[in-house]
Amino acid sequence: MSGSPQPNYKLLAQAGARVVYDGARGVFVPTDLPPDVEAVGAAAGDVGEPAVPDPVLGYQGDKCFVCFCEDQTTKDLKYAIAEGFDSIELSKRYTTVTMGPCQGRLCHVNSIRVYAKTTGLDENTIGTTTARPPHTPVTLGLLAGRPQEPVKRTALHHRHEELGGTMMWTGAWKRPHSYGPDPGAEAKHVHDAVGLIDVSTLGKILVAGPEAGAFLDRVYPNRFSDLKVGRIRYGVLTGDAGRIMDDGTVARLDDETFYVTTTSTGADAVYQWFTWWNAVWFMDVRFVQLTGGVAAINVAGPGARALMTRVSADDFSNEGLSYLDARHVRVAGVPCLALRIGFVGELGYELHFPSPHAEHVWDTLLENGADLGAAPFGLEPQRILRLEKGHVIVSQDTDSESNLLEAAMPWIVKNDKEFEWVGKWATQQVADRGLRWMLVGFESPSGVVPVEGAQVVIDGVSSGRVTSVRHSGVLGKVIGLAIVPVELAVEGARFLVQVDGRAVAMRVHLGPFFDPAGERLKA
Amino acid sequence: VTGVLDFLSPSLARDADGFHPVARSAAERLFRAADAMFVERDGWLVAAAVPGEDDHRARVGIADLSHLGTLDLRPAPAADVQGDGVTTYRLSPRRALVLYPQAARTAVGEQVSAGGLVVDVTGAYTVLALTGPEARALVARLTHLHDFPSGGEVAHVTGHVLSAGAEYRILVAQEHGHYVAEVALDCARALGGGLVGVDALPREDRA
Repeated sequence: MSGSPQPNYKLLAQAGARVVYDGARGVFVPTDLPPDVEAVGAAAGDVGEPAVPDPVLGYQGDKCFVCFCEDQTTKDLKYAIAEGFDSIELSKRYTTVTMGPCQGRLCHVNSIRVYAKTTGLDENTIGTTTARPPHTPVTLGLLAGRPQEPVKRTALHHRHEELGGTMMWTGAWKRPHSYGPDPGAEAKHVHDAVGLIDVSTLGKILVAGPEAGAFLDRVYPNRFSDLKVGRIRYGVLTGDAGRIMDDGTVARLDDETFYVTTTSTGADAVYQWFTWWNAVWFMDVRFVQLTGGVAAINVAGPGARALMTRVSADDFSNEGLSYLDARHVRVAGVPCLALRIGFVGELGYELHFPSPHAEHVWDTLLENGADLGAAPFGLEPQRILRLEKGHVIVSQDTDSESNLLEAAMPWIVKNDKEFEWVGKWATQQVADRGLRWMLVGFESPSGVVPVEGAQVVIDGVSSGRVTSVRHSGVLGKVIGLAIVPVELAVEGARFLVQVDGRAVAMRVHLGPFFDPAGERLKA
Repeated sequence: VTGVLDFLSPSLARDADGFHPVARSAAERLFRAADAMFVERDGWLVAAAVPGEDDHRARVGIADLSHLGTLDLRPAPAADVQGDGVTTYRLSPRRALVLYPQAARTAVGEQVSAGGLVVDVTGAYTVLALTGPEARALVARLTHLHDFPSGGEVAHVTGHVLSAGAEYRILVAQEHGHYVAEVALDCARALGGGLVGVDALPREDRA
């Protein structure tokens, strides 16, 4: 049998909507929606042009299947009707039609139409079966098994809870969203004093061996073999197709040892990516997944240096630890790798050290920085701070189609390397065909805050989307990042974004919104 | 601090500048909730005793051995690393983990220092010891693994199970340590067991 695509109305029906048969189109559509429930698209009945031939109840004596999952034919349904199971609910229980793995997605309407045709009743009189949870098949283990929901916790997890952090899922990790009702105030505090954020979830991979530098040159678009010992460089990984897959920093610890950080959710994928490629290249390099074993705290803000000098005898001056330096230090008695980087745009030291000492280091920093205003800040304030700098979050501001050139990172592509790097060919293809899109910063002159994912609209046509947007307290305005047609990647250009059904103008801003010269993070 | 990988080693923390670092296990909070008695040993806060541990051990007890040192050796040594309480676990023909009591750190270091990549991954693992007559039953409730030592899914995350006589040790990533300990405790309670302190383990298994 065949029929039209059917609206996926079952969740609506479970919520209390009535379902009626639209004979002209051969589909059931939801009506009388409960309060505060809105249906759009296919769920509301927009399933395109229907093809609704009358059901054929067997062709020249061949079997005519109604339900493939449960092996039910029109003949089986006619027998059921003949035996008195003449309501669709009874038929379901008797024949098991609609009770297989597809849960009626393929056979529900077919069976109703067979019933209508056989009994001479119309489809609305036959009606539908009752929609009940679960909407999709659920394992018995999930319903009745012991509660086993894997959670990744940093070594500071319980400290965050004790400090009033609101914990949220970020991938498989639990992280503090913020520590109070006003994430904006937490962000501003980092600009004014000193903030601590637990960044232990960052992926951390040791890349070691005589060919470690050469290996990184092959997997990253930029060069690492010439990175000086004790220095850090930003890196973006692309797949074979040139699409951005992850980013992070690479610090050179000695001639043959690099310490690579990845995004929090990308740690395992990057580790597998490295090992997979080296199974092809057979380079003399080894990888060690260090993510959970190493805690990391970013100490950021104008008071960061003063705080570090209280908890360490090492030199945290600009001369002793310059921007993009990596140094071995001892903090509160614990050996640390200090990375001078600035994701949040302020003077900052990212301390990496053994996880078992996380609470000791965290507590020491807070206690010794109390009079400096040292306070924790969560993920949401961090998102505000990084947006003020225009820093990208991979998978938030990029998607499966994003490439280096259209993500405004052409500077990271170093094609003068003597061998191919992963994604080089595809990136060159993008350059050859010409850029179509560009990731740009924008401001909202009206102060209206679009949702992330809001459509950029040009002449009534969807032409990009907002990837990130926040209100910045320190800037006093709404800022964001958006993917727009490349023609709009011009300072001051305007474009429209759909907000609650109306078009709202945004203005393009290229470069960081805050401290564009980087004076604060290099202070 | 001079070695480029020193920042990975909890054992290299020391009293300095008026600070007294103490290492903690990912499972500490579960033991604290059970009113465990903690003692400081070799720079770690160790759950030494737990109320009711004798009853637990008569069924199945879970102790926290995360303070064991753990080294990742590549390539794997030709011969097992020797020493009291030292375990060499071969993850593959080219890679091994060596677990050791802190007292054996120097002796282990002398055996593994010749060539290859040696990384201190002590902080990367939570190590749980399962002891008592129902230990095997508890393992069966946590994992499909049945031939030890081996690695695979433990409580739905990647882990390793090692056996030592009737005792078992479970190694999971530090970030999963609290979760796996929580699941193991839940399963142990159903078997009449519970948490036990390190000092409740047979002496040879405390390392």
